[in-house]
Amino acid sequence: MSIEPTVVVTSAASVSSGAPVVEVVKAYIGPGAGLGAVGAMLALVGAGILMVIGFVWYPVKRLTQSRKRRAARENTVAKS
Amino acid sequence: MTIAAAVLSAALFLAAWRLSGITPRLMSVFSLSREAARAMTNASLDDDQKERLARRYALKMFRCFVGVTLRAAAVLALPAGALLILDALNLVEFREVIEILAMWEVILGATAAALVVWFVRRAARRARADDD
Repeated sequence: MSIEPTVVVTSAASVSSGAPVVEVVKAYIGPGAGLGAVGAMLALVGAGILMVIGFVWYPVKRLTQSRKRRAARENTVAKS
Repeated sequence: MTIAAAVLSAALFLAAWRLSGITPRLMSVFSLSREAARAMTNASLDDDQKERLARRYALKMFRCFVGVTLRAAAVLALPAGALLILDALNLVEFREVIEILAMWEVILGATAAALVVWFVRRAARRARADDD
């Protein structure tokens, strides 16, 4: 008898319905495909984080800093 | 015939992996993420420089993601396609070959064989480097 690398999965449908539906699925991923998947995920997550930093965080920071500077300048002008 | 098809699909996978150039792409993903982290924590760079670098690295990493994903899909598609063709020709049954390839004995044996090949090749490379 051979043992296969499988995982018993209880599907979301069975949890929501309360019916005990249990599925057996193959869950093995080889080193090659695994490394590819890890690399692709790392690239996607890294690109996402850097896009947020480059296209949102720094422009927003620049905007808030320029507003603060303008407000400080207006205060100085108003006081003088 | 089923075992021969399993061996063929594994060989096709390895050949496709090598030819696709996926390994250098993966290495560049790891080095790019290291470089990006170093740039973002570099105190000598101002915000404008970091912003430009973040955008550049984001685009590079996204390009790497697309490249790795497409290559990985192609690498998997080649052996799967060959098996499907053999299945269509009624030479093997696709499901049976997958069953064989998913047996733990096969996975363990293939892993051990790959490790042996890797050690032998590394030893040969080192011996060649020592000779030079």
